Amino acid sequence: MNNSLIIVLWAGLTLLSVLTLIFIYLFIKKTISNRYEMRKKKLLEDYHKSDSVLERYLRTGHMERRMVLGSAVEYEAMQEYFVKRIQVVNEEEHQRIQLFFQQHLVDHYRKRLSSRRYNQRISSLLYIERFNLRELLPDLENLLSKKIGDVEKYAVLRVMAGLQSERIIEIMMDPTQNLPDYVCRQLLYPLNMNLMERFIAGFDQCPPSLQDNLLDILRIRNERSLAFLQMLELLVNSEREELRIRAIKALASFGYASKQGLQRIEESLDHWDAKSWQEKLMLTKLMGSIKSGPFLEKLQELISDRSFMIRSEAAASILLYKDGVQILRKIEASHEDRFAQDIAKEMLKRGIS
Amino acid sequence: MNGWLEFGYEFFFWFNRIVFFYIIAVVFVYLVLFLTSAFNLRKQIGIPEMQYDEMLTTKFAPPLSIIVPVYNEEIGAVYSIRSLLGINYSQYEVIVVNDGSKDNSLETIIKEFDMFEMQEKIVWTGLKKGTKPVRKVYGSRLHSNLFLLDKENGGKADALNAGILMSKYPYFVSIDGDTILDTNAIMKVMKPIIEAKPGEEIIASGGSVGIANGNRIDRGYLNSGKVSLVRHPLVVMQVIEYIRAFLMGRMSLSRYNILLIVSGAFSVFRKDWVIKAGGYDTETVGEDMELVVRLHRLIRENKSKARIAFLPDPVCWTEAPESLSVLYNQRKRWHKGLFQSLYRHKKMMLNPKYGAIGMLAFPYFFFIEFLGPAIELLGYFVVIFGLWFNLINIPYAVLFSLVMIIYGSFLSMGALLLEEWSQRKYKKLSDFFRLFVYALTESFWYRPLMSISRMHSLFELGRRKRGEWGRMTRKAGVLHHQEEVPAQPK
Amino acid sequence: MSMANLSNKSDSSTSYVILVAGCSHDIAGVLSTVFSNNGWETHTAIEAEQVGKVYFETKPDCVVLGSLWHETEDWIDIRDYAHSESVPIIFIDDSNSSEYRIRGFNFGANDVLGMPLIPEEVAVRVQRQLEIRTRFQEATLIDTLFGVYKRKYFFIEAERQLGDLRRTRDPFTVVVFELDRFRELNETYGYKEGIRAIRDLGRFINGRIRNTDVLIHAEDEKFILILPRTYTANAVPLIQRLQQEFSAELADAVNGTYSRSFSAGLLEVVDSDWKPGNCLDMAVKALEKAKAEGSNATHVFSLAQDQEQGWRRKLNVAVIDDDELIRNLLESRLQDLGGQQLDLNVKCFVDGEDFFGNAWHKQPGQFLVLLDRNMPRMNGMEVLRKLRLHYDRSRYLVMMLTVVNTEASISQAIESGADDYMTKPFSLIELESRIMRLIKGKRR
Repeated sequence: MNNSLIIVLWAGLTLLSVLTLIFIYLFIKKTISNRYEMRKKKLLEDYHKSDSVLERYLRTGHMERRMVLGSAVEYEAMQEYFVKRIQVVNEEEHQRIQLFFQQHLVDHYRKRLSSRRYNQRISSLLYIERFNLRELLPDLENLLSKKIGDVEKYAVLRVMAGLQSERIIEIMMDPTQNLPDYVCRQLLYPLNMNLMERFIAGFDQCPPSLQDNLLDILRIRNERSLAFLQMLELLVNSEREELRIRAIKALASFGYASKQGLQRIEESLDHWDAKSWQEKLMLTKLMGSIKSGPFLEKLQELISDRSFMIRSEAAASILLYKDGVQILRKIEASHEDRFAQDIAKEMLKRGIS
Repeated sequence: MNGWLEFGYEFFFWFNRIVFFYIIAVVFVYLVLFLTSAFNLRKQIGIPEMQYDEMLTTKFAPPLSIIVPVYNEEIGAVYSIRSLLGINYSQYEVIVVNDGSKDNSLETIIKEFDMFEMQEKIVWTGLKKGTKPVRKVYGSRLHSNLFLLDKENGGKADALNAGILMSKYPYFVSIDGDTILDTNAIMKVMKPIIEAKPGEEIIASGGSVGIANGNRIDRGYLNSGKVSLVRHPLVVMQVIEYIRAFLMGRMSLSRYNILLIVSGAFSVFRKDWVIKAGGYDTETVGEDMELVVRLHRLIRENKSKARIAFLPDPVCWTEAPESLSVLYNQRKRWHKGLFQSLYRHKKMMLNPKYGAIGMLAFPYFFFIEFLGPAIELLGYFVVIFGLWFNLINIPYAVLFSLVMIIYGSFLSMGALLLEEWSQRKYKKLSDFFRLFVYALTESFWYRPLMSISRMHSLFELGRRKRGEWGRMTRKAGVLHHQEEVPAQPK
Repeated sequence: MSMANLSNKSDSSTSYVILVAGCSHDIAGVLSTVFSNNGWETHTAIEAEQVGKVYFETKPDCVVLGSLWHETEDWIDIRDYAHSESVPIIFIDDSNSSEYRIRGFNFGANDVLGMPLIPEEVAVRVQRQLEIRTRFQEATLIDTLFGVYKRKYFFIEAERQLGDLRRTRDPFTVVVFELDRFRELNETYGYKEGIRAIRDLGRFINGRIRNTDVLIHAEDEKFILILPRTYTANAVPLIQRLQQEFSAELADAVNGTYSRSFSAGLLEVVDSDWKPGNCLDMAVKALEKAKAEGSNATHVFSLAQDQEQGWRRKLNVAVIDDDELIRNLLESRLQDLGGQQLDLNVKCFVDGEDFFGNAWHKQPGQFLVLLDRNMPRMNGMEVLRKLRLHYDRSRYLVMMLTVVNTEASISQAIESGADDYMTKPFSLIELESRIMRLIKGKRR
């Protein structure tokens, strides 16, 4: 019994002290962070006033000493302020903000990028991207070469993409990188057309996932150039099914095809039955966006397809044609297939409203 | 007589030891959980969101079906549905399943959303198990992506299954009628799925559940910036409990893909996997947990690398019961559900074929979560019994009790630490003090109470009831804007 | 009432209708002969009751009054009807007393015929009165009996509204409405009730419309209402409300109270190229559809249901962009825009000079110009300024396609008179829906 008692006693005491330590720790931490937050809030309020140091700088371009030196909380408040402010400035003010960051905060961020604390490295990334601090590109590349987790690596890459770094092209073309799709898209989206065109030019060398994501991003960016159109029209007959589907989707969004392009699509319709239902669905959508006689005929066939989704899409596509309404009315009234009649009726009900 | 006494002493002595070692083991396990969570939480902090992130996520997010089972909710359902129709997501449909409500929930919904009976062919996907008969299907003239399934009463699981049958997208979201979603909830919960590593499959995802009490909820939206702590002791304790359960428990378990629970209040599933697993089980009370266990089983049996993800961020809010009796019954029900889920799949217990689930998760849930309350209560009895019969001396008893008490509170402290390291919602010092003090007192009153309720459930395990709704009383002020007509008490 | 009656009576100048009232048989006979020799239609009636009935059935251009009239209420009513339409009353003085003649003129006659009746003199005098009436008719616009404008005024007002439409692109609604089952009403309760019903309806509507709305008595039981700056979506509930209120007001008759109702056809005028006559015809078509549904009905004229080519809205669309791909793209897509209701004539131009150099841009009709901002020889801003300075603003809608998304260029475009803008690269769906919105006009 005695032994147990001692063990219990020790256990009890340990737990008690741990508890107390936890309490003290939490108390101190919360107090400090609350104070920090209060100070920062006050600083931000001050900055907002029209005669604050920062506002005066924006108006006159004259940097006062108070702007340059600063404690950690001041830095943080300033960058938070400017991140919001930069969204509502004119040309001149924008340049002034850039200048300020380039001249005085580059070193600050450089130090933070080489810090051992994850938090510090990560939190600087946002500002580097937002204020276009291209001077720090070498430091970013340096960081990449170190051993960092995936999350951090992707964040660094995104900043580099935002800064239009050419290294991005190399990295993305490298299949061993194995970048997930969503990262690929995040990297592609901010790139300017210059860099994009290099991907388009070297399309065949791109790894498959990059090819797919490239098409998607160009599509949602609504890019419309001859080079892009020609590429899409070629890819409609690509060997890889996923690539074909993306190309068709991008073409549908593009909204136009050249004569050769139309021919190619019509040719691919000949192999209709061999296609997967996803490709069929996408082609049905395409035939509504880009209009031609043969397409309209095909759509009228498809409105009695076995699959509900294809029928539905075909009806929607027909509706986009000039006399789409008339055609659907005729189908509703006199088509021999009951399903076609149903879907035409439903589409008309929804369409004219 | 002496023989009996001797036997009694021996028994007591050994029992004492068992309880003692049990506690140590539990402390150890929780310590491991705590450390794992702490480590993983730190990794999740502060990734800067670039300007176009949200737009990209929206555009490339997979389409999904949100299934909302409704039973006797009337105007509350309307608010929930309306908030769902306005969420920040690109392609989705909302399927409301009226599970044979006895009040006028059906009519209210039909009128509010200008719904009409749909006669066209609805696409029914292939769940082998049937559901209670569906009476009618309605579409809405105001929202082309809103549908209403009217069916005979069959319980929440049955309602969910019916919704799954009708859904047309590859993912579905299961949500309780009274859950309130964060405005970006669906995006958050889909993020692990979208950000899956190449080759990795996420087949289910859930997040933390926050406690809505004390916060103003305006027609279905909660202002998550202004979270404040209530005064009601029961609610405060539940807040701590939730933090502990989510941040400590689920966080670490999900890291190793052995999480057996995804909150039924709000979670997303891959439809094809759920269909393969057979849909929700209408016989159990905790159908959400049972489904997840079954999914894990399917994963292991197919030797798949699929995972179930968990986000420590709160993605939805729910109303915690403020009355003891409602809370008591709730915990009783949950415990029963826990048992049913474990029992149904008892084959997996300590079965190496099921990997970490069988060898780690099951024993954890059974010995610690399930048997835990029993042993804790017994621990108390041991002390009292021992004192009464003078088998142990007072200092020992005091120390023993103290240790037990502190161990209980220690867990909650850990939770508060984790909260500080991840979300930092309770910044006010006054809130912190309140949480801390309450956490200290937990073992004196709250823990034993909860243990009693769970023990109660153990005793009732003889009787098997079919899936019940067990809704709690809806209190008008807590959940909805003042202008609403107060709900009828049930 | 058939469509034929809608045509203006004053157009048929020589076949007048004369009503011979209150004359003894022999005089009536003489008069009939005289009139029919001149090719005029004659009707005869003796009692006031009969006279009134015949008056409304035949709508005479002149009334010849014999000695059988008295200053009773019935006869006074008939006189009022005649006066309200400026129908001349010629009375026959067979007593040859100036007292009688004074009475006649005081009663309201325009002329007197003495005995014996000389055919040539009768003819000439009647003719004179008819001509005076015609000239007078042409000058007046107000129907004094009912206190509202006459049919002729519709064309004036409609023309004015179309002009406004061209300038402001705010559509107006034409409502043609007519009492339900008017013939039965006349047969059951008498023609006087009929008149009363018309008058009541006129007054009823007149008292419930805005100052800017115009109520016109087209003829008989038919009215036209012009609602400026109104969409049919807003007009329909208004009309329906009026219908409900009107039918709730019961009218007294000898054998009890009864309710009256009216049906309406509505037309939303959005195309300033339409003519008032067309508008009226379309609205009448809608009225016919409404009538076919029963009573108290409304019907809005819809182009889609009337598949006549002539009703399509025509628009010239110019695409001015130096990027060939964009030109081809827009040209092919614009062809299909608007379905059956729009008839678009699309033409592409390389830049501003190309556009202005081609006479195409000056043809009549409305234009929509899709204008790229950056072009070589004459850039978008220059084109815009020139269009706004030298051309009818209401005829040319301009949408600018700007590349750079800076405030300066957008505000510049708007200040210089662009109706809308899109930044490149643009989403097709957004571009097309903005174009449709521009074409259809702003909805408030």
